[in-house]
Amino acid sequence: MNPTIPRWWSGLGKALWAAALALVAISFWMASRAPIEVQMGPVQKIVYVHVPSAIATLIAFGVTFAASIAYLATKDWRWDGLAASSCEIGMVFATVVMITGPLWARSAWNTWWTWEPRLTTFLILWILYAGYHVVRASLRSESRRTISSVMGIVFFVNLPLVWKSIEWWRGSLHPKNVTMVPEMRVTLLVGMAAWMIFYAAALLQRLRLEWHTEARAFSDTAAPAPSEGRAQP
Amino acid sequence: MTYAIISYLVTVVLWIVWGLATVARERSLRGE
Repeated sequence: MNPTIPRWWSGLGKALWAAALALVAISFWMASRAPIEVQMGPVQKIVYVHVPSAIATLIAFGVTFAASIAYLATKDWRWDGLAASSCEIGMVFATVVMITGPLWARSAWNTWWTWEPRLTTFLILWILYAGYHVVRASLRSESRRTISSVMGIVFFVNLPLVWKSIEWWRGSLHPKNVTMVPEMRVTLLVGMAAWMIFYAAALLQRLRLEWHTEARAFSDTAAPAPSEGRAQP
Repeated sequence: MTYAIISYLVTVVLWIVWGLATVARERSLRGE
């Protein structure tokens, strides 16, 4: 079967992009208007992009985990494409977290970096999934999808460690419970909604590459070889 | 305040770079 992008794909993608960009713009505007936290000051406004990006990272890698299992069970290339696409978007979100975190820490904790549980486990997460892309890009054989799926499953082990790190280990600088005034809470919720829809829009966009890659591979195998049907000299 | 502004700018720039790279890769695959 020739892999082609469904017609509704582009329409849904455009609608999601419009909603995502509008909501991100609204969340930025709300962040600028949100109350200034007493102890940390204006730098605390990083929370409205840092926390949604961190949660989007975990969701993206969670999708990679589920899609990797589905690929190994079905051997359908679309599951592998979903896993790789979600992993790539998760890496961008994780990079946002890795940059905004130290900027916030420099002001709040007076240090760019400290080896506290959440930072350490998140750095390990970033390195593991960077490795996923390096290994995947270096493989061209049929085993690429299988090896990628195994990585997508094995690396997921680190996600609960990131999530629970502040409860399971001592010395965490991240607070276990955060109390916010209603205006701050609403701004954070809008930010989370905005970046979740942004993730969905980006995922649909990235999946188009998988369709095109598969279509090109299909046309390469379906096309006759250059010498086929010609008289050999 | 400076760090907060830098954080938002870095976020926007990262996603723009990813978006441009993704569109370029799609065009390349389509042979445009």
